[in-house]
Amino acid sequence: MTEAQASPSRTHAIFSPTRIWALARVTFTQLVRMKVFYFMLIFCAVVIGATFIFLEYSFEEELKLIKDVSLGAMQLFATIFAIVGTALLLPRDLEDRTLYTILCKPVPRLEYLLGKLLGVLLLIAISLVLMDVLFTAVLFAKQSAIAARTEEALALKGASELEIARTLEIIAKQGVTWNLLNGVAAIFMKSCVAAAVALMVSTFASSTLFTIIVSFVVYFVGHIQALARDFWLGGMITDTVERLIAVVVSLLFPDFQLFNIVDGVVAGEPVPLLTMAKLAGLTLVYLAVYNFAAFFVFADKEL
Amino acid sequence: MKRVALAILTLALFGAARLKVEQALSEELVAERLQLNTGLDLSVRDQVGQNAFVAAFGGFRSLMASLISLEAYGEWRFQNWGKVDSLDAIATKLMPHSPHYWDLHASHVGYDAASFYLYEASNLSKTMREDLFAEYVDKGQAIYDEGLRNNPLSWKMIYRTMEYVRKRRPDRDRYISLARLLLDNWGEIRDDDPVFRPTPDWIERFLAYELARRNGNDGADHAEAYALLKKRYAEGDRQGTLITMLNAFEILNQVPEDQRIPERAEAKFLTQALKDLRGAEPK
Repeated sequence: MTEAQASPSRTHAIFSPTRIWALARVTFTQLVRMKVFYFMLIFCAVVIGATFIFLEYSFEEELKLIKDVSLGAMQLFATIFAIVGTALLLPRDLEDRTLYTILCKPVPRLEYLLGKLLGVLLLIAISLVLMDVLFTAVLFAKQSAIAARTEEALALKGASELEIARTLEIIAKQGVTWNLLNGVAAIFMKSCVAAAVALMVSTFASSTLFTIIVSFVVYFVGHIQALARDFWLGGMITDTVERLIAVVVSLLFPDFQLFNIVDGVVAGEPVPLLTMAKLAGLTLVYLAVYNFAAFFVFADKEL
Repeated sequence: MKRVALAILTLALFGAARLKVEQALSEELVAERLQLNTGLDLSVRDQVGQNAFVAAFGGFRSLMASLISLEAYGEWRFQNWGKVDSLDAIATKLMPHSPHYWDLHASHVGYDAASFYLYEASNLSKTMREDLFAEYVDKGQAIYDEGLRNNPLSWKMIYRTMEYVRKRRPDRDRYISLARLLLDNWGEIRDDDPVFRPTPDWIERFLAYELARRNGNDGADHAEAYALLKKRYAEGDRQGTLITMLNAFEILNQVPEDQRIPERAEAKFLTQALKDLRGAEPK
């Protein structure tokens, strides 16, 4: 035994971002090996397919449809990854006995949970980047084709250069813009919260199916949380049972509706930077609280 | 189990803490037109079905509107106007802040369906065709009005409504009030029409034409119209109708020859313009 091995120079840190990152990378690799990136084939088919619809209609509608379909598909895939991907992690680690190998080392359970969540978020982020690149490329190609077609038609009609330039500018405004990135960022934030919910549920769930079902229920109820909150705070409910339901939904469920800015983004509404910052801040608070709750349950769980 | 209960209690406390913050953020998003203020109109549920409603609630509102609009387009090709009307109505309910759907709905109903009943529904009597025409034209107007209520400062919405009350359902007073609305709020008007983008000069000119043809308010309309036309002329506008109108006003107001503009309109156009000015309807 060498001297270095006999007396380790590094002391064990109570909280280590390096360990969390190592766990996140392993989780990411684990998820990639489940061949999740095959979804890109479906996404390609959906996005490219959308470009062939509405050829006889206005360019405004043609471009809007591509944006709608692409961002809709991104939201769908990101939600599925967030919930199903996270729900699979803990049971898979238990089944493979990887969990015991990790936790028998000086790895706190909180770090284990954070690492797992970070791994899923990494997967979602990379998937969204890939989807966004493809979506932007397809939208830009369509936008360019429309611009060329319109320019030719206007030139044949004898339109002035100013008129042509104005029309091309209008087409550009309906196509690829920086504002679309805000929509993608909001989808990511929503998926982060969904993943945190799924992770928390999986700490006390009896099966993967239970986690998936409960998480999807929370996800859908979370979309009407704002309505329940309005009913409760607005004093619109007089019935005690209904009021109780509204209170429970308002307090226990996350407000997923807040992250639904994609519809506004597609309609061309600009998203202020401050609004994005507030949404990001809220996401971080959700992640912290749900992780804390998950740790609370997981800390004493008998494995 | 105790720990699960404590975790739920933590979430409830967190829920209470974030309640006001989320309410404020939600109101902010509504003010920024990124979300609807009352979620979705619950009557949409009966029209689109439970699954589509859930999809619309889950953040796929715009996508649902696009797909429903696509379906409406299919029905439009078969001139199935009742179905077109109901599908377009759902699309406007899903995306009330999108002038595109209001315009599409109003034009399908007010122009296409109305014209179909008047000119192509040969199986109906003339009276019935005329009644249906009038009904659909009124319906188109109602849709534009509703669209304007939802999008009060949208250029597209205002401009398309102006066109409708000028060509389809003539209402000069309405046209004038909409033109004034545009000019008074020009800095705040949302430039959202991908097809046509006029300037305040263009609106001023058309406002002047309509004021000239109305002449209400004890001659004030004509005075305003003449002042606007002179302003446009001074700023270099030499459009044919503008010259004709100015010539007609100069004759009507007995402006001395040396103070008149040098350009002269064709006699036949000038005669018509004078006729328009003299016979202008009082407000």
